[in-house]
Amino acid sequence: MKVRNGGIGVSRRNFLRFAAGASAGTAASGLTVKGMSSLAQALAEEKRPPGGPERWVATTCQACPGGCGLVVRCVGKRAVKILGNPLHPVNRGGVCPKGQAALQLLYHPDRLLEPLRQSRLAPILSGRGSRRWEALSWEEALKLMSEKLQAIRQAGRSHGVAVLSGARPGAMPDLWQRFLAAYGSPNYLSLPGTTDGSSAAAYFMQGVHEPLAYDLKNASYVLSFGANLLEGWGSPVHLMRAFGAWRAAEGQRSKLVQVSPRLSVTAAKADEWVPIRVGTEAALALGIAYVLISEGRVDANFLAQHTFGFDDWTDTSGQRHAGFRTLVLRDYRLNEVAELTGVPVETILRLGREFAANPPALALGDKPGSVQPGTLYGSMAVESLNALMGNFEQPGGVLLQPEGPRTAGWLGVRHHSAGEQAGRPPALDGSRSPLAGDAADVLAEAALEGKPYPIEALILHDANPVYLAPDRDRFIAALAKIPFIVDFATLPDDTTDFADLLLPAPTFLETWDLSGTPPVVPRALRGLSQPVVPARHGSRHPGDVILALAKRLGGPLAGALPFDRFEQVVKRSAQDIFSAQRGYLFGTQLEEVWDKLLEKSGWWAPDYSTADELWQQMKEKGGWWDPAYHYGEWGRVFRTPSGKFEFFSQLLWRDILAEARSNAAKPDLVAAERRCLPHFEPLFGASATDAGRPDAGNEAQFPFVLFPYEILPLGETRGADLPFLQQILGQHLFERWESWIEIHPEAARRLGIEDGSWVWVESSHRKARMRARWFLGLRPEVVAIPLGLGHRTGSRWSQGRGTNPCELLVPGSRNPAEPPPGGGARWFSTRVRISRA
Amino acid sequence: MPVTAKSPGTGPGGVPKRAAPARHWRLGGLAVILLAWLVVTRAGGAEGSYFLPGNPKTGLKIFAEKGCIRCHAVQGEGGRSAPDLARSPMFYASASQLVGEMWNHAPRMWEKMRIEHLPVPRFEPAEMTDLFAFLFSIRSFDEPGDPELGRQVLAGKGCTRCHAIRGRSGGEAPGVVRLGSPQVGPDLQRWSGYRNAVQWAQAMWNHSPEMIQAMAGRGMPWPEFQGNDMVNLIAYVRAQSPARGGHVYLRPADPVVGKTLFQAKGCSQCHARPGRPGQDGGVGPELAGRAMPRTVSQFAGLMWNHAPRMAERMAARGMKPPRFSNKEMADLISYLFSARYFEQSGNAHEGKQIFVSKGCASCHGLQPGGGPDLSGWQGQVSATRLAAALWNHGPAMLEHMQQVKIDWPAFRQEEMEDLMAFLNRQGQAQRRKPGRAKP
Repeated sequence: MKVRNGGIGVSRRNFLRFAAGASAGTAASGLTVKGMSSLAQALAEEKRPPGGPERWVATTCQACPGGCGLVVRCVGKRAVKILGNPLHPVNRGGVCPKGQAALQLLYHPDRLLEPLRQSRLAPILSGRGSRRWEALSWEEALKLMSEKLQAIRQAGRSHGVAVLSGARPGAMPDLWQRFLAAYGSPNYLSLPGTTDGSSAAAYFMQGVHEPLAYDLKNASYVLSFGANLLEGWGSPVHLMRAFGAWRAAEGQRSKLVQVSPRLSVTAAKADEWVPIRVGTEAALALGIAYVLISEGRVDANFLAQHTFGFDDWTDTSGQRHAGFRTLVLRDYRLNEVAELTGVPVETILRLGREFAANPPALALGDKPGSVQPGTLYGSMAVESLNALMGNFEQPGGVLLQPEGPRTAGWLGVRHHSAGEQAGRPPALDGSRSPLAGDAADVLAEAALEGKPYPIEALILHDANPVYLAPDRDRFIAALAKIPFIVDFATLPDDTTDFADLLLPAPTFLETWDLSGTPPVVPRALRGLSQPVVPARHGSRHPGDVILALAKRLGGPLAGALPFDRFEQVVKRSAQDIFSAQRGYLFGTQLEEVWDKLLEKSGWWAPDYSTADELWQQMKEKGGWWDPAYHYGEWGRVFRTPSGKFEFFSQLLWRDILAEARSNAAKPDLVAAERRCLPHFEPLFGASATDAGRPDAGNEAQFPFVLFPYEILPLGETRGADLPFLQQILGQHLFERWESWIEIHPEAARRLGIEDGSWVWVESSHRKARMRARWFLGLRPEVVAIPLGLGHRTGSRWSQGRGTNPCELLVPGSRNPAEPPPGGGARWFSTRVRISRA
Repeated sequence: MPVTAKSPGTGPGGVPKRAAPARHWRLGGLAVILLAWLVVTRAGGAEGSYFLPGNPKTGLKIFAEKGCIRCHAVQGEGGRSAPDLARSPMFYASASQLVGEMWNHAPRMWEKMRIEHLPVPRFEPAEMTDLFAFLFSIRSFDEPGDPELGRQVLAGKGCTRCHAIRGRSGGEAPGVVRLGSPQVGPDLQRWSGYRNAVQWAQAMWNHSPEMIQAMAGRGMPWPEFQGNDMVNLIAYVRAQSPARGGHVYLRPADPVVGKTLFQAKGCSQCHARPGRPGQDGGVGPELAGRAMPRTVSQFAGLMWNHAPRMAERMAARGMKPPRFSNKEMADLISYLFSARYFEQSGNAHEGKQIFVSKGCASCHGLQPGGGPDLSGWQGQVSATRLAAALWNHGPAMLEHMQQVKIDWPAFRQEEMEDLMAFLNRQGQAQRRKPGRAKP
């Protein structure tokens, strides 16, 4: 029998042979039948682009915080291809899969089309979460929203309105904050982690609020404590370029050592992977500090000139305090550190000596990724290594992100409190205090407890807190207590179910914005986003909605936000850049060299002479930046009480001492003092909250430590809606479209679990059914699940697919001795057991 | 021109310690520093007043594309196996000196390139002009300075007796911080954001009359800056105090306006105009020539050093010390820096002797034979053209010289100038100029 197809004859034998080969190929690729049907569906819905003129539009990616520059090819009215912008200094033409996949977000078939409100039948049925929606016009939506906000304001409770936003630093957060300030609320809360471990460490040890940055390209030795450098840490493409520079260096190339419990992509690409027990990175860092200090391998000059608290010291009242040296030499002997971490003494010795012998050497961590914040003391321990080597403010060292032009120089609006209350209600997050804790936590507490005050309304923007909430049930209960919830979203997600009003937001490919400097990049930078295509469907930029609301609410709000469109706000920000009279437009690498040479000698010769010219050229080239970094401005990088890097944090001492004195008549000053120094806090079995946990210290019943981890395609737990990204989830195991749990083969064999078989994963909080995959790249006591799948609500490609490991985490599990930024500890302090399903 | 930085106050000024008498000759193809070039090439600049061949930014591109950057860095950006051309030679180098250095160094460069299998680049004359423009520009730029050296300057020169930094008496030994004694002068933190030495020069110049008086009243000797003292001091102040309101840079200056200022501010009453020795002035030294420093901050330091003597002379003449805004100071310095590049001709008679004594005549004889006849170069020789010819023909020349056992000649700067003058004016001997300093 022959099958004819377009004149090409295929015999039955050949047909069967081809089919078998195709199946084998499919099997080899790991593409499941379900995945193939989903992919086929996605590809089938790709329409042929219409004809028309070709144009290229420069914009900035917002698929992650990395801030890469893009150029998007459009044919007619359709965007057809995304490439990296070669002029953008962060990525220089590179782009990661998330950026590439953004077209699928732009043309996603499940995008929210129009404003929706909870059906009036919803309270009768099942309340919020019933997913019964009614469409309404934008006019109706704005009317509803403004009436609610007006009523709250008139009742003198405007401080009870909070915004929870996942928007990148830039014009949009500034606009939100200006709106809230004029409205009368101090509550702009941001996700995922402005108060993460490394930011908190920078505040307490250096006295700065600006993010740390690193001159990675010029580092000779990089010791990463769990930072997923090649999987979304900081600015992904920027990191990948630095990695490329390490590998391409002439002569001796830079060495990357990855310390982590799991063989991540970063660990696999590193020169050395150091397997370590979960949550013990701080101990290892301090063990390495022991090597450096005991063997005299520190930078004595730097320690003498620029640090405080290395040696024992006496305060003004005459009290003697132990310094960092005493603490390390007393408490972190190598055999004890080896016992704690599982890293052999010989390895700790070697790492310490290598770190000292290869300047400039950088220590990074312990924040693993975008949504896992790390711990305060872990981050302090890591930064201490950099201080011991004096690797601050020099090429290859720790830097401080320079402040860019004040793109919202008009933020100085007087805080208005409806009803003219005397005094200003405190912000829920302590005005972004480093000790404030997770934004979702503080919000839930305020909603449930009414402390410091109830939440009257919640506006969500680009945030899915239900998915990531430390205690999902508690957070949902908190949402139920909030009378009015508005959610700006592009696609349905776990949180949209709980909104009263759902407003369709455009993607970053359809909007204006001006992004701030991406994480860890050591330059002031502003990336321009501009619409590649007009906003699709009925979506409207939240910035435009805020401006419309301000006009409706009138009074000081209208005066504070005198713009009609968000584009005008962005353009105004560009005016601020012009007024700063420094920096340059994005350009080639040669232009970068030239501009830096000029700036280093105090000259400034930009390619624009008016604000309009700057604006036009920013649209062509993608943005502005200041290419020179001015090293050695110690007054800027160390703003602690001592004006130095503080091993012993006097800022922490102030808070902890106050807390100790308020809690006890005779406070334990030694314990309090220890909490002001970098030290190791154990994850398990150390706190009162563990007492009631079934898994506390019970390794027999819950023998495995659960290790949730971020992967690049699903960074920030976004991306599951996009087929391109679902297709590349777990390349090391050929896993796609579904969750999996990694287990060491030895542990699996002991439990009779075969590779690829279904298992129950059970914590003391919840259980889930998943497929187990054997993976040698794990410590035997660890099991690992990637973050980002398991959405209960989502698009057709994300809903009901996979398991959300956050739901397995035991709520409230953190060591109270670790301040809230160490809420990062809660990610890794859950034990589980595995059994065949 | 866009607005430059705001004027922060007054300050002293100075003039160069001495200007050695120099032979000058006008070169058709000299590049000037970035300051003047940017004026000409940007909208609003004064065009035509100065011949400003070459584009420094294009020159950087050529520096990279021809492979120079593989071995040579400029201010640390680039290769490490050869001298940093922004820093070496340390002293001011004219175009002819640069081509002389290039000539002298060429055989070693080519040998190294041969070993590393690097092709020897060829240059069009325009490309070499741009390259020279780039090198001139970059060599006049100041580098950020060493804060530790700056601390020593601050303490050693006695600045801290009157000035504090952030209320503290800076410049002490590391780790020692004392509250400033009653302040006589302003806190230097005010200027921590100013990144350009010109801004400091302007502040110090304007302030110098008060400072001279205050220091004289305290019996303090006038401190003098050497070398990079000024940038190191600025770096130290900057390191100690965060710049309030961000960093302040200067826009490129206008040498044409600077020339006007030279007259308007009264400088010409004492100093001869650059390139016109013996005319005007005659009281103070000529502000041009090879004795002038290489970088802007070094120039600012000279102005400072000279301030008391200048003040005395001005007082004797009934002149009020001029004050400058930031822009005016930048324009003036730009004029002085750009004018120095128009050097007068060398001595063709001596050049002819060099042509013979260095062995050039044995191949490029006055009679035909051997190497190419150079008589066709008459009136066309410039430093950049010579440099282009060096690269384009030099390797073949070297090979031939090695075969016939002729040593590669080395030239001192004035020898190169004389040689170029001879090649330009072949057949026209020039009488030796009186007063020329013999090497």
